[in-house]
Amino acid sequence: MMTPQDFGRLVERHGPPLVLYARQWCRAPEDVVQDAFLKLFAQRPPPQEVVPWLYRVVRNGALDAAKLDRRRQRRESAVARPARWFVEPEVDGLDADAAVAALQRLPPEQREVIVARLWGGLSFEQIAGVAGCSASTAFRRFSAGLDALRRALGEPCPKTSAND
Amino acid sequence: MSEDLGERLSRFTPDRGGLDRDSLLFAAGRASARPNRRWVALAGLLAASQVLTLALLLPRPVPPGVVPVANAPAPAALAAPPENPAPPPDEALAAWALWQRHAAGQTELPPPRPVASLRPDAPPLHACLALSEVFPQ
Repeated sequence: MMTPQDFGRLVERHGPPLVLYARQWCRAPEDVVQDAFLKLFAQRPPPQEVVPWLYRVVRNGALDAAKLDRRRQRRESAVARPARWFVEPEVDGLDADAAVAALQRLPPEQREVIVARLWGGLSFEQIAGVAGCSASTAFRRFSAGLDALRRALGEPCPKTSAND
Repeated sequence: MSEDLGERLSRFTPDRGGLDRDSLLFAAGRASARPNRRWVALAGLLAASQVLTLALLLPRPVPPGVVPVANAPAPAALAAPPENPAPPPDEALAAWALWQRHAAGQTELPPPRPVASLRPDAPPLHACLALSEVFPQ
């Protein structure tokens, strides 16, 4: 049985990464994440692995919300307010806007794996269960996505820099 | 270096947007509350008892030929008592003189005479009548 304190800690720890994860697909990620937490609280019995379960529910909810978003997007695109993805404007010489732009240019399947891995802390096996692919496929997508981000952000290639 | 880029990227803190922990906890608590239907059952039970009581107390149709009159005392008992005639003037004077002598300690009062014209006792009245008296079978 999940206590309110456990629930609050879960929201604090995994709420923002889940919002970032849902933001890959829909424009109202907070609503999707909130619905997922409410479903978790009402779940009897609670799932064995809470965090992957949350990512799976958020993914499904975000995909459903994305269908509705597409209808509204044409009408509201002119007045839409740009959403902030990260709190810090810059970290270790990386500009947040540039990072967001690079993330947005990634293919959705790569971006999903990178967000779930870097900010959600999921293992490749857990990502595979959420995304419906194998763990090796999740790893390949992650590597390919990081390479694409490196090129987009002008980061040196590790092999090249190692040879240098 | 790819791992370095991943580590650096992971140091960005995702923005929580409009996600509010307190409102989420409140919504979760409200959603998890079970609806209590005991008061609904209690109210229904009370309403049913009220209806049953009203049905028992409603006047029933009287069969023809029966006059719904409660058991009343005989009319003779309710008749107006006869007027107590005023004593003649000489009797009053004699009574006054007897009282004066009694007050002066000269004589004793005679015993009272029995009064024959008093109204007999009526049966006592009750605030609530039995149902059998209100609704005679």
